[in-house]
Amino acid sequence: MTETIVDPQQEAQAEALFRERYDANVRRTDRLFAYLLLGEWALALAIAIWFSPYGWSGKIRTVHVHVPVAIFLGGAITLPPVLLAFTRPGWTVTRYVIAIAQMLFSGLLIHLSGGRIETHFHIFGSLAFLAFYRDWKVFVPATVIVAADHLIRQALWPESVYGIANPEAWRFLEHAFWVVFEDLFLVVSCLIGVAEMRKIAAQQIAVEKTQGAARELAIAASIQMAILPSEVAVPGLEVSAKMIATDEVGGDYYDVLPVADGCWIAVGDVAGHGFRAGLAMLQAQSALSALVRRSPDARPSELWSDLNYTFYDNVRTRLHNDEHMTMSLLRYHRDGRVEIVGAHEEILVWRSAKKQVEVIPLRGTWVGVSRTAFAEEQTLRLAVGDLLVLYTDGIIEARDPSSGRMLGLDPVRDVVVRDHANSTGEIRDAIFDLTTAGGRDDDASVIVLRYCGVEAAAAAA
Amino acid sequence: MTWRRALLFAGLGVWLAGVAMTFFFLWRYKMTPGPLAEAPATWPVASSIARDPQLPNIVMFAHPQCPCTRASMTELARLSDELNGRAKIHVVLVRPDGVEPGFEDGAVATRAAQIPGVDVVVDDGGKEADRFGAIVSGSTVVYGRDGKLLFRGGLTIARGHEGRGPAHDRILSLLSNKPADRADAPTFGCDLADHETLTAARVP
Repeated sequence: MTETIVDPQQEAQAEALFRERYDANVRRTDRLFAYLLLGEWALALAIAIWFSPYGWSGKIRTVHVHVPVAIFLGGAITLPPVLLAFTRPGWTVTRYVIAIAQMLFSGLLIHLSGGRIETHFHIFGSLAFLAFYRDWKVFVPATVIVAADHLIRQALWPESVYGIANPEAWRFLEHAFWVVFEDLFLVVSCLIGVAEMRKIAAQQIAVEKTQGAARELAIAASIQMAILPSEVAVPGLEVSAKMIATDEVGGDYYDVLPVADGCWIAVGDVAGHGFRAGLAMLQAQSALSALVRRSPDARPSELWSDLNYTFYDNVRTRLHNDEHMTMSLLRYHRDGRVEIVGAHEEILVWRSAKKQVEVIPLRGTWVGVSRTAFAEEQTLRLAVGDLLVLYTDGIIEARDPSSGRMLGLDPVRDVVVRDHANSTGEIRDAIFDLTTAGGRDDDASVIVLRYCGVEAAAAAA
Repeated sequence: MTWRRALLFAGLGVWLAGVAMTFFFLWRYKMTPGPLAEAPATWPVASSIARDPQLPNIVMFAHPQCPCTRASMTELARLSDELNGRAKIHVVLVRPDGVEPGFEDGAVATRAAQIPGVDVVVDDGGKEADRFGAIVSGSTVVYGRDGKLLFRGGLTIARGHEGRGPAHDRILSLLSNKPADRADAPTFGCDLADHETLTAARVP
């Protein structure tokens, strides 16, 4: 599957990575050819000394012409490209000079080996080595050298190329054709190689970006989970709370903020989930925390209104985003009085005296939808042993594995009825257990509170 | 174009031209033949080489230590393959006077011995070479069944350079009683005798 990059910055990064690797490959190949050329020079000298050390005139011997040719012509072919390879690696000119030198070496080795047909394979091997550059243009000077050699010798000494004195004028084309034939495949392999390198660079940048985003999300998630309270000591209350996010960063929010004669309790859910929802949730948490510290005795509807204004201003006006959230805001007093405001899921209240669950609906507007918010304040009174159960839609909208339908409120209520005598932590976990079989599509939070009475509150205080 | 770049390209141009010129002189040296064998028109009666009267006879004179002659031997082997027994082939290893024992041994003798059906003889002092007028190693003479000279020259395309040359077609044509464009070919190889010996031999 083709990796498509639409982000111009990512595309530029991929191109830069490709260039860096291409350049490294060219430099590496320059060095490789430098050593190869030096090796070929040594080989030429060895061939000359081993096979034709002397020329003879009867019994008189002199150094064969191959020896100085191997030394001086070999050196002349070798040294300039080697110098360029070590001082100017990566230059376009360097690899063109290397390509020319490599072809010239084919000519020299053919001379020194006495024109052995096997030595002619050096030309084709050299062309294949040149493909290491993945630059199809290096084949141009290499092929021109081969063609020029044949053309010139055809004009001057045709027997030396074709073994006949009067070859056809086009004959050099036949020899050049086989070089071009190989060139064609090598050019295609170079083009494919470059395309592959580009693709790999693009994929690596994409992977790095994804890994970077994943790392950032993991950091954000750890911050978010750290800021949510799990066990809170509030005089007169047994409290257990937990949030499980679908993504690394969730949009759910809950908080328990102790104050002098009780605490503030909030449960909310930012629309959507993921990084932006998590960011909005953190803003709501910060704003409410600050408002509670400034006005711990404020009316819940006032705090609600201020929180809405702050959230709206941050998200809509400054960040130009459109997140909003549902929320329940409760003010608990030690005497068991609870004032409730908000627009969120219904609150379950276990009445220990009546052994039944009350369902309290909330009426109000969502936080962050408009600059002004409406919320109807309600008051209820808790008796010793009563339970308050708050949750987000991730619980009641979880799927029943057998029917595929959403869980709804009834199973949650059944758990409260069944487990009311258990600890708040056990009740909370039992509610979460309802959702594990079918899987959740959304973040889920549960807070369970048990009122322990004024005496217990006073003792704890 | 900056002056540095211009200097670089000029330097590369000089380099390429210098290397090309050296190759040119190397090729010219390799393509410059030695003198043709001034072979007698009929097989010399005094020759000790055992002529086969039933077949045409091909005689190659070789300097045993000449590196160029290895290519001549390769081409003689090629010609032998193509003739497939239609001619008797002789290789005469010319051994100059005053050389160490074993001078005639080496790569040339080894290659000659590997050609099927070839008679290899050692020519002490180059007497046979003189009889056939051979001056350059690789010189080859071809005589017909009737003992008349058909061809003289070398088999290689250049000095010490393998490759099927024009001599092959000419010899094959002449031995098949067909006309050939020429009855000779350039000969490439070391001198069979040193200059002083050659000069002395030619003094009447």
